[in-house]
Amino acid sequence: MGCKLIRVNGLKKVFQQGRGDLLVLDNLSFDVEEGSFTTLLGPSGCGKSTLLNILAGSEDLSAGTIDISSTGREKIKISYVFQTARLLPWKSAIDNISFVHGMEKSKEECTEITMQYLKLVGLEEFAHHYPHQLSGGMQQRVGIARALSVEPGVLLMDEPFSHLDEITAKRMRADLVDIWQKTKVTIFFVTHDLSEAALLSDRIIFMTQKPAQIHKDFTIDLPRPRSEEDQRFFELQTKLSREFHLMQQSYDRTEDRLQTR
Amino acid sequence: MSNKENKKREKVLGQSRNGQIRAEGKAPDTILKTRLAKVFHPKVMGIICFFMLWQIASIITPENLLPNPYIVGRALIFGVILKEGFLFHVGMTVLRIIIGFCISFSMGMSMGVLMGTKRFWEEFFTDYVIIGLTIPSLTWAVIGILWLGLKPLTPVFATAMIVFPYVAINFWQGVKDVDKDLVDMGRAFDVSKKRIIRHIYIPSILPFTLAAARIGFSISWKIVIVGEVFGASNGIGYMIYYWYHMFSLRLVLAWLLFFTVVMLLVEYFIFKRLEHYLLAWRPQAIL
Repeated sequence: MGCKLIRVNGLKKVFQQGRGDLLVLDNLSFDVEEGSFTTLLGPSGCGKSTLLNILAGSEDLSAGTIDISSTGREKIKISYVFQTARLLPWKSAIDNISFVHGMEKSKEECTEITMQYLKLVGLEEFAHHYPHQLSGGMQQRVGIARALSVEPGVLLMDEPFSHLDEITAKRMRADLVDIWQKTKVTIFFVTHDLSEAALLSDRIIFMTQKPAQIHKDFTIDLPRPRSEEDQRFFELQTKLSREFHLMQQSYDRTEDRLQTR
Repeated sequence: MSNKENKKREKVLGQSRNGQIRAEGKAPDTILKTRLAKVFHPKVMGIICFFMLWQIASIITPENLLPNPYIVGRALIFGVILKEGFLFHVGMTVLRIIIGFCISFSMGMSMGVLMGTKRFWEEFFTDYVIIGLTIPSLTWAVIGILWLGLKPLTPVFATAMIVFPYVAINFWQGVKDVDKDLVDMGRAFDVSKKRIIRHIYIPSILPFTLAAARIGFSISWKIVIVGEVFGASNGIGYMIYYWYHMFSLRLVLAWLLFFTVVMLLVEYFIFKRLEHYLLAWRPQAIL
């Protein structure tokens, strides 16, 4: 730990629209440490997914720089877990994972890696099940196994549990922390759920509403495993929630000012 | 008391005393029920009902207007299947269908895929498809004869022209229906374009391909037969036309019946099986 893996400097994103431009991300600067669990927390529609897409390279940035590299290695592999599992419905769990591995690996090697990661997410018995035979949580587990199987330097997760029921999501969060501790992968997690962020992260980057800026940057040093019944966890959650209301109020004031002007 | 009687008695006594034995006693009943369910399968019922209605209609209509199923069935065997030249006529029709279908399928597929992938070609071809779907079939049959004369393959021209918009529209929708999220996922994981096409595009277009093949094939049958009436001297259409001139509704219907049976066989033995094989991953392929 300690080494900076992602460096974002003065990032701006403007969407060109018919009537004037829409500023989505306004001058964001932050670093992400290697091996950390960093969460980007912000209200819905604040441009969190846009930021992820930019980090992933699937969208261009309007200004600023992004540098994803670690000392020693020049390029870092980025991998994803999406909001929905995005599995190919015509392929079994094992084939869904093999799909993202190119031709360079032999078939046996591929199967071995795939099984290893299915085991990690606890689905080795379901390797030959099709997605429709798996529950939503299991599908998302396959998605996580797929993302980890490419042995990424950074794992980007875009609200991966938002489509699951709360009971499943709870288990998935606990398991995700386990997996993170086992694999030591750097996770950059995006969510709008305060308690989810508090439960999972080392650090929370709190974003404002559009145009998104960094509102606050928290370091969370609660010991793991964390429990929602813990007094300290409860305090943290209250603090985050208060911060959220402050941010919302200041946003509303700006809106009012803009309207009265 | 004989052994058999004894058992029977036991059973009766058991039934009154013990629920479990009662359940056993029900077993033959359920077997009968499943057998009945097979006999009374909606499809079987549909076929029986059809022949019954046909029979009734032939009784209540004036004489010779509608021959009953028995007469047509006999005509099918003796006047169609066992008649000399039967295989030749059927063969010619099948050949025309296959050629026409292949031409229209490849034309429709290229056009549909192009429309699904490129915005420009979508705009460009939309009206072609709409017009293609609405032009009366007869027009193409007549144009075919005027351009190509009464050649054996003239009906093929009409078939290709009429069927291809249907194929195109299916492929167009099929390509548009590909889940963009899955393609993005593939790209995000740096999967090669070839693999994305092979593992994402083609499997998601497959059901549409099957639909295109089905509809294309069934329309091909119809059009080839109409084409043969006008522009051929052999084939099933020609035979129907021939018997029409002979005022033999019996044989016209016999050929029609033959044609229907072939269509059903193609559906159940080719398309259904193909569907079952290709779409085996689906939760419940409706079979």
